[in-house]
Amino acid sequence: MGPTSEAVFDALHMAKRVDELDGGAKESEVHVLAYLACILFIFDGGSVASWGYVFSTTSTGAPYAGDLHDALSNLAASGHLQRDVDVYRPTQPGLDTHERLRAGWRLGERPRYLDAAANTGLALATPVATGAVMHEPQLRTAAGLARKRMLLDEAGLALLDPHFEGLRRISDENNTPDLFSTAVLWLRYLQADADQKSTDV
Amino acid sequence: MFSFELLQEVAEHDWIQTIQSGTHGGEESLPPLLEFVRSVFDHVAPERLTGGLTLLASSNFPDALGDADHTLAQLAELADLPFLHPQHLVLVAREQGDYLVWNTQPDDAVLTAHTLVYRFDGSDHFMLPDLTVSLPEIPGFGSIFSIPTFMTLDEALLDYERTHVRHSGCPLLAANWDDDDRIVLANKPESSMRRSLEQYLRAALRGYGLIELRPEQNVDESHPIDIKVTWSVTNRIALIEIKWIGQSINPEKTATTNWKDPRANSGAKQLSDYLDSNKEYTPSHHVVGYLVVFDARRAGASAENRELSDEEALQYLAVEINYEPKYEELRPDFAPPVRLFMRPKTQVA
Repeated sequence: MGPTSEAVFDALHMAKRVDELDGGAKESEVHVLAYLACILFIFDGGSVASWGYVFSTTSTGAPYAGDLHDALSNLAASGHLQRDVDVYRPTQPGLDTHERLRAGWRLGERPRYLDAAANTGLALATPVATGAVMHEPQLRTAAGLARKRMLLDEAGLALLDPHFEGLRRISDENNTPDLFSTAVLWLRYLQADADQKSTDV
Repeated sequence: MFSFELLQEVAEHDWIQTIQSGTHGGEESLPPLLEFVRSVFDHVAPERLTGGLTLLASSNFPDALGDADHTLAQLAELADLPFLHPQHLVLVAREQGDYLVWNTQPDDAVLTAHTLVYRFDGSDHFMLPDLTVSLPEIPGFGSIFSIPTFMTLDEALLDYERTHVRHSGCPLLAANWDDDDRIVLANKPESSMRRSLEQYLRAALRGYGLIELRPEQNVDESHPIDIKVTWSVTNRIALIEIKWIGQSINPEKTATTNWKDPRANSGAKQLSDYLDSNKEYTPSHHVVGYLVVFDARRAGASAENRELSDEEALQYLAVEINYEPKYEELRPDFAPPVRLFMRPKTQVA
C-alpha cells in the first residue's frame, strides 16, 4: 500500500516551499514542518483522523511519518523531485504536478496549514523553527526513550490543550488571529520554555 | 507544564505579534514581505546598501512613487540589483513578476498609509501608520534576514569561523578576553566557547534532530563529548570536542595558563578514544568526530605583557597545529581538525 494522497501532496508542497525559502529541503525538515502543520490544523478545529496520515517518533525523538518518507521516495523515483542524499528539490514536472494537485477540490484549506508551518522559517530561520518544534510537549516526553511511539494520540492531544487555550487568549488580546503569527509565537514559547528548564537543572 | 505567564512574556517581545496586531486586516501581507526581504539579501549583502533600503509589501503604493522622474530601474530579476548605484533604494514587487526601483527617500507617512513597509538603514525596521517596529540586531550579521543556514556541519563551521570567531563577532566570545586588544583569554574560557558554538549551530545548521551540550558540572578528563549533534532521518551523529590554545589568565590575574600544540593533540586522542568507546552504544548510527580548536596563541603574551607588536600578535595567524598522529588519516570516523584563529585587535586589518 503506497503513501496517502495527502502525504504525496504534503511532501511535494513542503519540498517546493522549503526549497523556495532556503534552497533545498532536507527530509527531516519536511517531517518536522508537516508535523507542525498538522498541529496547526488541529488548533484550527481539524481532527487528527482527517489529516490523512500519522506521525510517530524516530529513535532520536523526532517526528516522522512513514507515508511522507514513502511519498518523497516515490516522487524522486518518478522524477517529480530531485534528490541529493537527503535533500529534495522539485523538478519542472514536480512543479506542474503540484499546480494540478493544488487546484484539486479535495485539498481545501490544507496548503494554508503547510504554508503557515513552512513560513515560520521566515521569522525564525528554518533551523530555529524546526529545533523549537522538537520541544513540543509530547515530543519532550518521548525524548530519550529510544523507541518509536505514536504522536498526537489522546495523550498527546491532551498535552496540547493548554497550549491551544493560551494561544487563543493571546490571539484575542492582540487581535492576531492569523496562523502564521500563532505558529511563530508558539515556537518562540517552546524554545523559551526549554531554555528556562535547561538553566533550572 | 504550560505557563501562560511565559507565553505572555514571549508575546510582548515578539515583533511578529506587534506588527500583525497593528496591521488592522493586512495580516496576509507580512509573510510575502518577509520573503521579499530575504530574496533581496540573497542577492546583495545588507552591508553594501549604504544608502539604505525600503521595500513595499504590495503594489498598492501611492501614485507619487510612480513619477517617471524618480524611477531608477525596472528589474526583471533581483540578480540585477547589485549593479545599481548605492543610494537609497525603494523596491516593490509587481504582480507581473518584475520589480520597480526608485531612488528617492520616500515620505513615510504617505507610504505607510497605503501598505506595510520594510526599511533597512543598518538595522531592520517595519513601518506601520503610527508605529515603527525595530528588530534586534544580530552581532556578526548585517540583517536578521541575511543569516545564512547550512546543510552540512563542515560548511557551518567555516562560516562560524568567519562570522563569529575571527574578530570575536559573537558576544560570548567577545566577552571571553581579559583585555580589550584580545591578547589573553579570560579565566576558564571553555564554557563560553561551547555555548557560542552550540548557539550558532542551533541557528545555522539545517536538519538536525538534537544538539546536546555537555553539562557544566562534568569537568574531569573522562567527560562526555562537548557537543553532540544527532540528525533524525539519516542516522548520523557528530561528536564535537572543543579545545582552546593560547594564554588564559588565572583568577588572581597574576599568571596565565599556556596551551599550545600538545593540548590540541591531547584533545585529538581524547576524541579518538571516545569514538572507540562510543561504538557499542550507537551501532546503527554513522558517527564522525570533530576536533574544534579555538586558537588564541600570541607570541610573547603573558599576565604582565599585553603590549605586543602586530607581528607578535599575529605570529600564529597562519601557523597550523602539528598533530601526531594524524587521526584523520588513520580512521574514517575522524574529520580533519578545525582550527579557529581568534584574531587580536591590531593596526593591520
